[in-house]
Amino acid sequence: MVVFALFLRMEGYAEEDYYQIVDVDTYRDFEWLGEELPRDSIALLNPYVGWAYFPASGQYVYSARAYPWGVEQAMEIGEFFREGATDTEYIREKNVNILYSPFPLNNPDLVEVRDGVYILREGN
Amino acid sequence: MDLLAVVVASLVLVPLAVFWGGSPVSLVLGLIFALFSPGYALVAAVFPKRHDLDIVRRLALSFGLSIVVVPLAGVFLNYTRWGIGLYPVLFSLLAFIIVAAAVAWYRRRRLPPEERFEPRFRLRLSQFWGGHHLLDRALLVLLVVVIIGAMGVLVYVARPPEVGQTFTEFYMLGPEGRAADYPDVLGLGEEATVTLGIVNHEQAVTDYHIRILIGEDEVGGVATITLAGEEEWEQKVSFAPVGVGEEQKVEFRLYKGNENTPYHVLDLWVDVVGN
Repeated sequence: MVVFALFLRMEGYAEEDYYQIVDVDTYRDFEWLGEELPRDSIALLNPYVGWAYFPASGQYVYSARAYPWGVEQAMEIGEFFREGATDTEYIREKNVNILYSPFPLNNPDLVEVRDGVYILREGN
Repeated sequence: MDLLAVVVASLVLVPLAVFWGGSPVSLVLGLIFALFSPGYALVAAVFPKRHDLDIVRRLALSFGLSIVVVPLAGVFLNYTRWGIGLYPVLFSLLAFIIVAAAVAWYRRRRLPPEERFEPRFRLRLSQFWGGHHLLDRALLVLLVVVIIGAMGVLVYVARPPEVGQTFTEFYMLGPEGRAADYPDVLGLGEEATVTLGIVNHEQAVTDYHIRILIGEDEVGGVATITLAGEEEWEQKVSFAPVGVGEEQKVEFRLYKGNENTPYHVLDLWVDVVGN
């Protein structure tokens, strides 16, 4: 009976807004980005933390979802980071200039200005 | 005596919860108060006779009914003007325990002494164990396991909090002090300047030093920087490339203490052209 009641309610819970928890150093990274980046910067983040980016930094983010799992765009961005973000054309297409990556990146078109924070090089 | 013990333990908890909430004694008594006493008093009121239930079933029902009574009390309080808070919950459960214990006492008094349920604490484990069916024994073992598990959870939750997350911020800014306008194209030997910053969140005084490398060549650095907890450091540093080439990686390596492995590494890619 409990399982049945939970099952009925689960769909309703999926539509509710909820908080996203980030750890202390991630929050501090977002604060720093809000303080140091030009106002027109747009960031590309792993969708898992994208939801927290705007309220913590005050900066624009390409994609933010409270519940990114199973969403095609979120999976595409996650895959992009897992492959090392080597596709600079993909970054240009999204019109972003900041990447916040959970993985080390090795793209010569990106400058790592802080642990996990990459900025597109001038002229790119 | 059992009813008196339940009521007295509940009464003792009230001042403890108010004045020393969070102390180990209040936590233990609170656990008993919320997970045992209401159910025990209710079972005693509903089953006053010795032969209504054996001790194993009484104990099991006491836990189970407490888990039912406490949330119901919360639901009830939610619709009153007192709401759900420490004092309303504390006094509503206390009132329930006292009323249920009073009913149990009254019903027992109306029975002949030999029919009243009165727990006797004689520890004859072999007789106790051998005198019960397999299902009863299994339930008893399960009950003991659950109680031990609950105690373990209580100890885990009540232990002092661990030290918070420790880390060091290490960042690089452009010449204007913003995260922009980083050096991109340099002439051979041309000096480039960036601003490096460190913030110590290690919760202890920490020594750092910085090395700047292009490939295997060390082109700059900063000697020992000692920072107290939460102290910040920011300084312009310069470096000059020593070879011509495109996409040269300039590494800014932050070391902590005497460690040989970089704690953080930041990368800047530059194109170096001949003069």
